[in-house]
Amino acid sequence: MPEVLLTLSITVSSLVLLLIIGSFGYGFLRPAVGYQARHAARPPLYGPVRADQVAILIACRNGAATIAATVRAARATGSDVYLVSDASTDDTAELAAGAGAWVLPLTHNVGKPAALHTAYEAFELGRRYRAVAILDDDVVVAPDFVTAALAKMTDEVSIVVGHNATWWPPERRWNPWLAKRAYSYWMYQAVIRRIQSHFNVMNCISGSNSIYRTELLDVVLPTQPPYIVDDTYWVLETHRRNLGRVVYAPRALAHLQDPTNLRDWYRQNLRWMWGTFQGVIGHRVGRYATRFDYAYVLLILHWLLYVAGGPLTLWLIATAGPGLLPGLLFLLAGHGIWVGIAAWRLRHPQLPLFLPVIIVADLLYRVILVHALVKAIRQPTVDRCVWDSPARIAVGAKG
Amino acid sequence: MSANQDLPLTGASTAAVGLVGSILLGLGALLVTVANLGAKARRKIS
Repeated sequence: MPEVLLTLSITVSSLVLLLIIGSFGYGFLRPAVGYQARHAARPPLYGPVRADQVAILIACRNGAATIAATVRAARATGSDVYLVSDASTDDTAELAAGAGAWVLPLTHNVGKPAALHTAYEAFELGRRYRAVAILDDDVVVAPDFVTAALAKMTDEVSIVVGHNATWWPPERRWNPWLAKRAYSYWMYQAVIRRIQSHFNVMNCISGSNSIYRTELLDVVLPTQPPYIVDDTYWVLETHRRNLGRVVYAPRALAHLQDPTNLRDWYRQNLRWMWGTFQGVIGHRVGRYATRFDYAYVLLILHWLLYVAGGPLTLWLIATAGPGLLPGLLFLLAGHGIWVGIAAWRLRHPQLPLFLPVIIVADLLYRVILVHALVKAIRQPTVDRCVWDSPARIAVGAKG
Repeated sequence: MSANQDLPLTGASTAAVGLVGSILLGLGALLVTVANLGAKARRKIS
């Protein structure tokens, strides 16, 4: 054992020393490189945006169950609301118009990104507004959503990502998938999204409730996204083309409808992660020397360890013998601390009761990651960014 | 909606990545500083 430690420490030290000498030599031979990189990384400066310079754009296909509530809430922000009905066969267009939206009905189903682009051009949003909030057809935003988001839109910012909250009404308080998603959103936004926002390395935005500068949309909307998740493509293009900072606005609240059963939960996560891996492959994440790539590679490393931790946990449980009960309690306690804080912050005291479901779903999520990776390797791009959303629930007013 | 927002963030994997990330970040900062020293030395000579 001491020999191994000695060899290891000598090897690591030699390696670090070689790297230091190499770095000095690199700086000596190419002294201009470091300065160039620093200047090139500076994002463009945009002007300020007032609340009356923001439009809200919604793409919808057969969303009659939710669209009126979505448009009413969007109108309550004080912004103009535009809706493109992607060849809906129900009352979507009439209900949206009745709730106060300008409606563009399409006769052919073109998919969400193409529908958004068609409406963006038809309503001349790029010319008439300075920013556009793109919402999903089942999202209910808070009345101060736009002003809270604009507070974060400084001159360097091109995308402001709103705060997701799962719509978890009292009549569905015992739905385990809503509980799981409510917890996951809270956790993700409290930790990863805040850190990523601070360092401008956000790899994933909320396509359902974010605000984009029109200068950015003019660039990214005309291109048909090659990935199954349109906003994954937009955020990666924003980083790669250096189109501005991507920040998170925790006070810009939006309630989202999330899957209510295992099948929908699995399929939605699979699509999200498939799109994520398509982005990693297509945008060559890790192949460039940028802060964004560095942060993304660390995140991927986290995914690797996370997936490997699944079988390891199961193996430890299976071979625990008399240590099974303490082992299980340890596992419960680890998750329990986080879930307890989430229950307090989300004001859902029933959340800790879902702990076993959360742990099982956590194990299942590792299967989704592997499944999505295989899917992305087999199908790294898509011709059309079209998908089926989970079943929606008709809503009244959300909190 | 998008990407990996349903990914939980608990346990040893997060701690391990935090540790590895910090070490790499520290090493990266050290190497950039040394490279800048190299560039400075070159400018002094020429």
